[in-house]
Amino acid sequence: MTGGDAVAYAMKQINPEVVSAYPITPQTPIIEGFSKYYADGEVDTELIDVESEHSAMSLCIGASAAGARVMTASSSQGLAYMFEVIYAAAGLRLPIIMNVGNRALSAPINIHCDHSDTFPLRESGWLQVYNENVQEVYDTNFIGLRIAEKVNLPIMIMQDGFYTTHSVQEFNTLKDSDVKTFIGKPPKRDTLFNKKITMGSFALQDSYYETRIQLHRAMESARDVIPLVQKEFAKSFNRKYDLFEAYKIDDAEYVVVVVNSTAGIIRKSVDSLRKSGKRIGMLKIRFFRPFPYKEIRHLLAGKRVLVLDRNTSFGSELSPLATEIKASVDVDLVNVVFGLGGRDFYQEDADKVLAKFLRNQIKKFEFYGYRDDLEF
Amino acid sequence: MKKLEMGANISVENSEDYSTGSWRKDIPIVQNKEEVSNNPKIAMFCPEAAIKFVNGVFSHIDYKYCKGCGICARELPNAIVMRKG
Repeated sequence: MTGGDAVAYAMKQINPEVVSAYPITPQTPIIEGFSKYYADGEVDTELIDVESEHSAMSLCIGASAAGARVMTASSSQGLAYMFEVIYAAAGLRLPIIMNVGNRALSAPINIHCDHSDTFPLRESGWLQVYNENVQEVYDTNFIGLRIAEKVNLPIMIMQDGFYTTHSVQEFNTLKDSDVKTFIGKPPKRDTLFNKKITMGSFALQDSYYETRIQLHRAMESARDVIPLVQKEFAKSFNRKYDLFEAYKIDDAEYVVVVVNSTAGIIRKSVDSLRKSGKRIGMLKIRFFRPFPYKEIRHLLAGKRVLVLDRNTSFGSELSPLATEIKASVDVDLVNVVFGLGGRDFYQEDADKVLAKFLRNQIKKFEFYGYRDDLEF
Repeated sequence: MKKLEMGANISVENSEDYSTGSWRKDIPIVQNKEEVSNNPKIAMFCPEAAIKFVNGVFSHIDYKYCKGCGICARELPNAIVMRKG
């Protein structure tokens, strides 16, 4: 299945009470796939079409506040459109699950893959997890749901637009009954239907600050919940996931940090360089929020680090992923930006960049892969 | 100690439990009960319906809900005055 279809299938197996979404490339196969299950009567979900992503998230908030298990999906401009409500979902502590097909932000309009849509939302209070391939994004829907409902925070589950959403890959599915058992019933929480409460209240200067600290604590508590849930998943289904994938890092001198599908070709580059005796490894970040800074501090200490960012932060010395890594561990770090707006990054590009890295020839911050036949 | 609920939720069973009197800065003091009784319309001026009349006669101001807005004192300045606290 494609990543999009796999997520639609995961949603079908989760059978959430409410789904409300608005179509946007490259998320469309997710909601189109789910709509088909809905039309064929294979889910009990209330599927509600709305006029925009802002409305979709608003509706998800209302449904979640009433106690429903809620899922949605978006990308790029859609995500940007629901910006204010995304923050509301986290502030209201609602365990909404949103799948994202990473896509570049306008302007100019570009429907292809880069990570500029979800990195700006790292401040929002949502749990964030990046997925390399179809297997990962499928499994992480179940894992993510459990974590979100345990800590009462919404979760964003990412996969590369087109590279993963639209690419057909083999993967192992779970049985419907196994999914039901693993996700279980939603844990008890105060909802509009089981308690006389006001949700979405006003907090003046005298109390807003403390609500932010509560949110901070909830995010911190996720650090303990994530490994427990992933351990349980591994025990039941024999697929191990961690906060990140540390690939051949132990004795590595050089480490490449990356998220999402690019990890696939980096892993191959690392393997071929290892064959010629180079001590190089790869750190594939999965959970970006909460950011595993303690583990990374330990893992990357004393190494030379190259961070590959598929997005950039204008005006900053480093791109967002590099900034977070640099903040966690004080190492010799270089940052290469690549693949913006779906500019392909092939195996030969990975080999080229890693070779340059090993020759210590990469500047602190560089753009890789831009055209030399275009005047700009 | 007052508890801050998750998501700044407010669990109040109904509006009767919500003591708006805690918002007060200034407090209306009735200096002439008879004049208030002679002006029963004053009860309708209070946004919290905190001016209580019993059997057509002024009874008391319900300070649990009185927000100290001062409308009653403005309407009947000779009968009701605002004091600090």
